[in-house]
Amino acid sequence: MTELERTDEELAALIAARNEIAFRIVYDRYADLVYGVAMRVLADPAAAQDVVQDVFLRYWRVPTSFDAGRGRFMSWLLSVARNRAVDEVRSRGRRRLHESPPAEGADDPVDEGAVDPARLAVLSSERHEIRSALRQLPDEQREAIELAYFGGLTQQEIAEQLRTPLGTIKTRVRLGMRKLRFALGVETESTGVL
Amino acid sequence: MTCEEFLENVDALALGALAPEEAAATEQHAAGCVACARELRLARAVAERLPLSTPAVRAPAALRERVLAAVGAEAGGSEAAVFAQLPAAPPAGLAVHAPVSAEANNVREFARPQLPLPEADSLAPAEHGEEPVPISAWRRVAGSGLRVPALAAAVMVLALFGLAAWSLSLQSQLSAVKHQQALARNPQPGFLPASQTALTLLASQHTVTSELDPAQSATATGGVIWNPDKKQCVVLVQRLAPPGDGQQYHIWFSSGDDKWDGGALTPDSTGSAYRVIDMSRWNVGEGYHLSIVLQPLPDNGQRQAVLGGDLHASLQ
Ligand SMILES: [Zn+2]
Repeated sequence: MTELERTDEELAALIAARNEIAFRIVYDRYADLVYGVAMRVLADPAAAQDVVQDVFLRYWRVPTSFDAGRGRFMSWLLSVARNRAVDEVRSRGRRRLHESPPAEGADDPVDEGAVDPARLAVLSSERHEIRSALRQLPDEQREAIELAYFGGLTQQEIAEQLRTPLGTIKTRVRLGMRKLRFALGVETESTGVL
Repeated sequence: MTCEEFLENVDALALGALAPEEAAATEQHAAGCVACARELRLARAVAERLPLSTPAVRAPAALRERVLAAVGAEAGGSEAAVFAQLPAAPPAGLAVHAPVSAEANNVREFARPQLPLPEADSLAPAEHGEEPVPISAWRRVAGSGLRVPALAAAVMVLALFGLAAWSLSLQSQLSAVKHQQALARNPQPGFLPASQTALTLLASQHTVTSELDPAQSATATGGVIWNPDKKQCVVLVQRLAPPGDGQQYHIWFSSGDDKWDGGALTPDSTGSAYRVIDMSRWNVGEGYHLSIVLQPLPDNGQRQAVLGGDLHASLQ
């Protein structure tokens, strides 16, 4: 087994022991994904790069911020990236409008040198799954969910921006999330750890 | 908040789309309601998949350099800085023993890390010492990415000394982490001071580490972390057989006729032994041979070599 084939969770344990090699592997594995998330939220390369730097350096400084007992590393890291990018959007008082989800087969320049083929395949199938689940939602439900998650808007703000009653937005979010839950098979999970 | 109200808000909470007060109230309900807590977990499990719907975007190489340089600088900036970075809460199962050593005030600059560490391949010829022990390969540690904060000091010491062939692969370090997680609940006496000294040495320039080679039938493994500038070393040995009645393990330094007793080495019940040695007392160092021997008590000169290696400050 080569070092590149270590699971994220093994690498996280090494990073907690201040292993820079492990940190570098994790960076190479996820920087493009983290950057993609930050770009989706911020649509500003300079600001998105600041988010990438901030997310990874904070993780290096406080590696215990990832708790392996509570879920997958990748989910945690990308959620942190989203939250950090949304904080940035909110602090700027800037609001981006809804952007369509990427088309299937969108260019995903994940560094293949840093990801072994098996990992790449799993990643690719997970991405296909969530994209296809989102595509199956009615447009207005997907829009509400994406404005909330990637736009960093509260339901109230979404209602104002779309000039739609708050109750309607809440319903769209709830129905859309419910459908995603079934489409992703999350309902069958006994815990949040996937 | 009722369960019904909670269920209206749970998805928005998972998406981060509630105002702070509303989010707090919703989370508070989940904290006290098992069924709703489960709903929140499920909603979060959905939300955390959403980032994957976004295409990866090639992050610039300059960004990578910036991040890795910052990590390298922080990891190697100074011991004081490294200690200051220790997280407030240790990971589960890992004890934090933050040494506040005199060294922490004596801030030094370390070399930038160079990864990965090259394989040790330089063998120094044996030239002196009575004990016919094999020769050891030395390798330089300072500046290699092995600069270690307190949290990982004991881990790294184990990684260096507890595993075959001094493998510095991630696999061995991972094993060491797991080993240490077990050990941290029940630390062996003498281990922590030794590991803290080892930390200080590992973080210092010009430090070399060496595996000690076992003599003929010896099963012990061990090594030395030595800093010629500080004239200090840490000897760590594992799998030492119990010395038996009237016998004792000792560390000897020798060069030609020059011999110095570096002190006794007393294995614990697991066969591990550690000793910090101030070498300035005898001015031993470069070119000396270090041996671990089993000798009678009192010493009559009939010493049986167990482990040994030569001290060389740099790769030849
Ligand atoms: Zn409830």
